Amino acid sequence: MTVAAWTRASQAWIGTVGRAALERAVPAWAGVAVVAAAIFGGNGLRPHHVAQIATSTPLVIAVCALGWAILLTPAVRAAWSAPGTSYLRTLPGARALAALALGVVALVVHAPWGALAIAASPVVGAATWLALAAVTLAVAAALARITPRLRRPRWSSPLAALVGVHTRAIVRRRGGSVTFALGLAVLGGALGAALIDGEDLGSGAAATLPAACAAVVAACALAAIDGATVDDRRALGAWIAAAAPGPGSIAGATLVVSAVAGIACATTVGAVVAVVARPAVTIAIAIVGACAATGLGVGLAMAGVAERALAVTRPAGAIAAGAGAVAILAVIAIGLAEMLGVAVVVGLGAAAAVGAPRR
Amino acid sequence: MTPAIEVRGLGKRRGDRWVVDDVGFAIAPGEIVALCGGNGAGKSTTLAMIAGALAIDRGWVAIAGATSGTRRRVGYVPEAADPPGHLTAAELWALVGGLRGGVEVAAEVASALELDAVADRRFAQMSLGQRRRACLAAAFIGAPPALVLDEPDNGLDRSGLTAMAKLLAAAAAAGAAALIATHDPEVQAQIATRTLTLDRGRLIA
Repeated sequence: MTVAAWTRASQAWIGTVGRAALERAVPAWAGVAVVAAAIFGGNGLRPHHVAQIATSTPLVIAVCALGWAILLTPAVRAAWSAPGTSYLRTLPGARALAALALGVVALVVHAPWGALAIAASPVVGAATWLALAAVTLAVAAALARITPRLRRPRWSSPLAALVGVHTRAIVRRRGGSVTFALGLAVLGGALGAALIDGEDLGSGAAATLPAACAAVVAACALAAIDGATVDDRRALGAWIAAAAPGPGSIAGATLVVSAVAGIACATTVGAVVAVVARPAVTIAIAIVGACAATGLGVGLAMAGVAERALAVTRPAGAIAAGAGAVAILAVIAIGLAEMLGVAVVVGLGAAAAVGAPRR
Repeated sequence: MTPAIEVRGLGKRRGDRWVVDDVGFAIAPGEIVALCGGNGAGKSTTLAMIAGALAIDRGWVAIAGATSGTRRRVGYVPEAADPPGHLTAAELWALVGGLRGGVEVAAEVASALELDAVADRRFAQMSLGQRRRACLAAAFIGAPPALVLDEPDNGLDRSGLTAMAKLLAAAAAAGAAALIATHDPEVQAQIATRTLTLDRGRLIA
């Protein structure tokens, strides 16, 4: 191959895999930006404080790197089997070009981390950037070889049937939303631990600051998960409407999925905070409990948002706007009333879920 | 005898136009009725209202004499029977069975429609005919007293049509009634015992 042919082929590879990767990476970057803005905004904590904590506490940087890697692995996985690559793999020099393109894409996907890490510490930062790119490439390659085993389900009630199909839709059609939620929760937990660093761990703030962090993380994660549920309800609309006993069971399934996902996501935030900050056991339990309750409230509220989004032409936009409103209200409630604010979030979430019109 | 499907004064409005207007008929148990009409005549809208998939603006529907809880008594194949590609046929049947209270697709239905080998295959990996057969099998789950099938012959090959005819005959012999929207003269002549015709939302024959 001539140099010109190599150049054209590498451009084709990078364009093909880059587009697929960026479609996943940009929402993940946006999610981190939203969580970071909520955490750093108005409480006196600045990025360089986190950098100081991270460099002085290897566990914090390790957990942050883990969360970031989970968050961006779907982007690299999408690049690995992007539409069009099966054809490109049949052309001469495909093996080397694929390695080059995927390597470049992995570095680009992790570029925000690289930029921050190199600014804090050039050598260590560059090393973690390269390590993240290599690890996510290896995980994406391993995931590409897995063929999921499909089990034949048997659901004995309408609720179980609907929860079952919605869960399959989330995992199979929007698997990235699950890893997005997990990665954001781990990253949010690490940042939440940084938030309470230096606080009196016996005070109410020890539980309420992570709870506020969990509210933002859960709302962002549920914007993706509830979006998949709404899409599934629309796709299966004729079967569900014709066979379901009533709108209550249909809305109930959305509520269960949203509440369980919210609790799981927020509890992960609380658990990571407890592991990284290492408070007394009673405080750790209070942190995890407050986060779980906040996740329940946010999950219920987002179920109400999803139910309302079914009526609009572009549900994704309505769900994203709803998630923003839920996160802001939850942070205000927890900020003003601490643990009572957590109870308010649960109450308002339940009211939003119950008050949503049934379709 | 109580009709298996009874429809009176059925109406559906889109904007200021009635796309289904004052439609009424009764189908006795054991009858297989073809619903005919040109494109836009209101066949799919009528069937969707009978199945409970679309809200009724006027009139009422009774299945086996009951006007409430009709959804669980109707086996339905929607017009755009294109289930999400990530689901398998077995999962669609489990969904419909679960919504009907935990019943399963009868093995003989799956066998008759030659679906045993593809039941665990995702819809995205099936042909149009296989998808239609899987949707048809879902309609028979729980042996409902009324079958409402919207162009079930669309995409079916000769063996699929034969299998559908046999299943409908067996269901009719067991006392079920079927209402089938179709453009196929063969279905009207060989499967249906009676024909209803819609024109611009009104029943004309």
